[in-house]
Amino acid sequence: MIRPTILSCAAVLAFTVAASAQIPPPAHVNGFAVVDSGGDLIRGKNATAAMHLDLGIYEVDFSTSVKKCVFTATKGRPDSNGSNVAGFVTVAGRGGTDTGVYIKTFDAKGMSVDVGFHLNVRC
Amino acid sequence: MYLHRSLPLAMVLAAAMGSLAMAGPVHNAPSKITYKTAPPPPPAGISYTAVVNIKGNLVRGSGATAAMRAEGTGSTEVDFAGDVTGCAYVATVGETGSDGAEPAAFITVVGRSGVPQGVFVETFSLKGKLKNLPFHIDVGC
Repeated sequence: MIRPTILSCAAVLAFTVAASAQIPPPAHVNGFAVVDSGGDLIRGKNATAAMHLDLGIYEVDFSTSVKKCVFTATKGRPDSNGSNVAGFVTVAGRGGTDTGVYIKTFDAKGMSVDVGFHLNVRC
Repeated sequence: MYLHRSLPLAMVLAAAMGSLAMAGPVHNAPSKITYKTAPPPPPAGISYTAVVNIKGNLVRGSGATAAMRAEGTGSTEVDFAGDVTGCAYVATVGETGSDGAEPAAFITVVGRSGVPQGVFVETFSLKGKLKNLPFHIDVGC
């Protein structure tokens, strides 16, 4: 009776240790950018530039490679005045450069439109 | 005769009502909440988070101090421990728990007018109409 209990406790302990060893450290924001509808970089961290490429298309560049990072973005004004209308934002790595993020913005009907956005990059 | 004299007044009233309808409601008007002192900005690299339920209440988060319905349906103010005017706000519509899921919907962000530690979040149905929805927000500074 005792031996199975000890064995099961050891198994649980081993699993717990293994599981805790696999837990990644807390994520930190490695960079962010707040960009207005004209493609100007209003503020950011580790963001070096932003530009308006075409209708509803932007590029945001960072000081280091973001090739293996996670990009999340939400449509939003860069300031604290007024509000927004509904719309979409999509993200992708920028082709040809490891330091860039490629952003596309849309209105509620899915049509490309120039709008400001907030972008977080976590690596 | 009576109709003729009242016609200009009726026209003015109709025009005024029309312009009001065109302008629509004003969102993100200065918050009614006032803080005696502005909080300092958080250290660089800090990320604040908040999970807010469909009623506009703060469920959990890191560095989040409060959440409340701001200006009626679909608008929520989320406040944090530090000044977030220099940060980026990224939000996603989503359940607060592990049961069920939300249908497709929109969400937008902007700094809260008059509250440096606040973010003004608006949630919309897929038809673009303001609607109360739960969400997750990540503020990177």
